[in-house]
Amino acid sequence: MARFITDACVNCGTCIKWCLQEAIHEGESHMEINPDECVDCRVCEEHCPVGAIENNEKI
Amino acid sequence: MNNLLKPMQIGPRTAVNRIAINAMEASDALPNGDPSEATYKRYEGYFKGGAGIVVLEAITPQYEHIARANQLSIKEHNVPALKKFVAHLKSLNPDTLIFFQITHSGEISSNRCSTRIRVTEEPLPGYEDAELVREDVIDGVIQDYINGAKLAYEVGADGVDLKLCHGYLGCQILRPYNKDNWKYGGAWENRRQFAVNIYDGVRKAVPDENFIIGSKISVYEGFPGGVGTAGPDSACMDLTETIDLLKTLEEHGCQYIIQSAGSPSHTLDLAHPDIRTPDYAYIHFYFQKVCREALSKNVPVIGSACSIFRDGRKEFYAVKPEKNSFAFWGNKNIEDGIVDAYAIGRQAFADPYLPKKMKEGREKEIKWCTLCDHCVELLIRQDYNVGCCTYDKKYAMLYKDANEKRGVITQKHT
Repeated sequence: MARFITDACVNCGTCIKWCLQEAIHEGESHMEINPDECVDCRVCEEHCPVGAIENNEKI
Repeated sequence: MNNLLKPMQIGPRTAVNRIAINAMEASDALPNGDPSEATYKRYEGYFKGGAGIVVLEAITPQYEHIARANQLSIKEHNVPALKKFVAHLKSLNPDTLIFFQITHSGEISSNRCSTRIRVTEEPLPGYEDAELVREDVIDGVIQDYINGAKLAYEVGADGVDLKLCHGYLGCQILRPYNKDNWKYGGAWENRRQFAVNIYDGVRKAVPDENFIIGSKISVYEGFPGGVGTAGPDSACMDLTETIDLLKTLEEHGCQYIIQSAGSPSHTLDLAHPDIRTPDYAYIHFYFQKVCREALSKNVPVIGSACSIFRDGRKEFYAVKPEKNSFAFWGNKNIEDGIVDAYAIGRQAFADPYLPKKMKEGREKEIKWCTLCDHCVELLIRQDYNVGCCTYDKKYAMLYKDANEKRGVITQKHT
């Protein structure tokens, strides 16, 4: 899993709606990605309206 | 109006727009090669989505040498089902043209569900298990292509794509690496004769100009001895033979060309530029221009490798997003005479309705391919159903299942 949700998240839940793997859930302060479920399809990043999902993939 | 949305003449036929659907193998035919429910679902999407042309994925006129399990086939026993399939699609949208891509997988056939054949004494590295064949077999393959095209006409297809791309048998015979001296090997004139015999045979078997004949070609395969190189041991690009191929195909009745490059089995990123190599898509513009300049104006060139551009919002540098989208480049490259149309593959899995949404000004509703390439990973496995793993739950689950059962793919080739 190479994606994570930053503090910019506004908890709108858009990412939950799009994620077919059900890998995103509400965390303590913002949405969180479960690394065991995420397959890195990038759909959350694609649809996040505030750009809160970032990539820590190695170059 | 964006040039992609304008009609295009192909021989005596008209495509209602310049967006085509590339042949994407989805390995979901029934065991006898007939279209399954899943095949229907995909192609219904393409027809309802309003593409100008749909190329039916790699349909095989024989079942001994195939690239993927559950591949569509076009033999006598498939005629009733294919007739019904085409009639159904045309009932949904009579304007979309459907071309059947007829193929033979040669040395890159799956050695799990079929056997491989090769045409060189010295096998291409990695294909040592392929059986060496000569004209006694290849003349039969040519006849298979002709029979396949004849049946395509019979079942109502609007034309055929006589596949000469992506490392399949057509490429294996055309490439300089096919260096032995035999009927279809050695000198360029021998190698290109394979394609010439297919074209002549198909037009003789179907003497109807309304039945469109063309090919998808790899302009440059990108490895030593591949199509578009200077010789069997050279990786240096030399498009002399490719240009001659284009001119020769036109002389023998070719009515359109789908441009591609690379081979998904050897040089995947060249064929399908991915998120780490997006810039390769620009090289395709040059290849499109080469094709455009080699052919008469009345033979349209359909470019490919453009899913990477999307709405412009992805990992490119030194360019503004609004000047780097699929819509932008499609419009500009057609305007500039570089290409006549574009075919989408991965993007068509993500959203088959793209042409309709563009036409209706609903670009914001397009589900853009996220370039995860999970569909390509399923393709590489050669026996999983293939589709969009990002927007379609069925394929998302299949992708997960494949990784859990067989491990994550570590090499991006079959």
